[in-house]
Amino acid sequence: MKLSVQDLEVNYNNVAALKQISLEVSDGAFVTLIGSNGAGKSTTLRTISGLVKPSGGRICLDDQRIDMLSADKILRLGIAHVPEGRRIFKDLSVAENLYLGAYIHQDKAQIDLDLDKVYSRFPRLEERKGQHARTLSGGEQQMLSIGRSLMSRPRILLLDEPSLGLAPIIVQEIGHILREINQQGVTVILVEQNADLALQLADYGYVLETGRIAMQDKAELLADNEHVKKAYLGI
Amino acid sequence: MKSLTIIRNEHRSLGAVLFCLKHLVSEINQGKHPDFRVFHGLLMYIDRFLDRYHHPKESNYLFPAVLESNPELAPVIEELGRQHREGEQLFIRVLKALSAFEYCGPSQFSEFQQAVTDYTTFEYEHAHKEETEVLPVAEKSLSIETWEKIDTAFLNHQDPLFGDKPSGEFNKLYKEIVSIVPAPLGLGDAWES
Repeated sequence: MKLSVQDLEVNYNNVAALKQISLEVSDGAFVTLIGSNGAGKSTTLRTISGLVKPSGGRICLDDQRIDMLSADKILRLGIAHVPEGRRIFKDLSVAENLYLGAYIHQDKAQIDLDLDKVYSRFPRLEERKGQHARTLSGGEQQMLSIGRSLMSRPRILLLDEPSLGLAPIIVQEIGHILREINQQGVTVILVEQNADLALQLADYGYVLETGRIAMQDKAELLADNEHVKKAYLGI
Repeated sequence: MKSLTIIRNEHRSLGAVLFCLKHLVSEINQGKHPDFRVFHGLLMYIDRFLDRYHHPKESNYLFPAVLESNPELAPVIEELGRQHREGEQLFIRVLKALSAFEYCGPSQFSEFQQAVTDYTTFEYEHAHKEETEVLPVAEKSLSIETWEKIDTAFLNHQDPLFGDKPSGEFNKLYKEIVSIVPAPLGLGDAWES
């Protein structure tokens, strides 16, 4: 399942948030978008997942154009979005949050198997499955947000700042989990201000600056780039 | 130059665990009751990670190659090798201080706190020295052929967290540590006062 974004433009109240964004994500790839606050990273993800409608350009999944589809239809095509700030349903239990992630599916037996897989990946969520999501720590809430998205059986997983506000060992563990998910065949598109983490995990990267792609390359080459090192890696 | 990425990734992994160690000691200082299993897990990880994976790669493959191309770095490389040995001694001091604190009680806490401070500060500075004085030189001076040899040796060792063939033992240990380190540092139950 290949994702192709061509000359994407997004405006918010006549202000250009994205200008001519083009990226290609092949099946099974691990791609990252890095850049500072306001660069357009989250807007790019939100446009791919259908939460924001573009004012120009196109987004294609294999040969099918998807930029005008609803977010629900895009989810059903296999693109799941783990939003910034987790956005879990705090008054529902852990299990209820996870079941909601599977709302597009009808086969209960398979949904239960998917739930078992999520619990196996995140044992802490199983321990807390009956608790309200608001009682979870920040790290647990992030695990829940990722787990909920996995319940939709995505082919492409979009993640927006999964490391935000989390302690270092949890960040490393999330990185490990994302690597595992990718190795199991899910394409991952990761947006991160933590460029270190992002370039460590990804195969390929795009650097966004003021709504445009400033550079793109294999992640290990971006990590060696002097401008990237100075601006985003603090080296 | 995958080896450079591996070294930097491993420094990050280690840094995350050292960060935990330091901040958990702060929590005890603020009156929280420790779960000693957490310290045992963190220290076991550090011990095996450094001894089995990280330091051998530097000492056996990277440092000799850098020294051969840049003999003027001999004092730095020797100092880093000496620091590997000094780090082992500081680590043993942490282990002994932890045992004393665990079995003899709060009167031994200040020695444990000092041992952790000294050890974590030492390892941070050691990694910083490698990253600022050796890795940039290595990046610029070693030939493609040399890097290929080092990369092959490194890839056979594998970073337990992010290598392409992660070691099951270390993955499992790391997940267990994350699950018992108290929130907000990890996913475990917060320590009580």
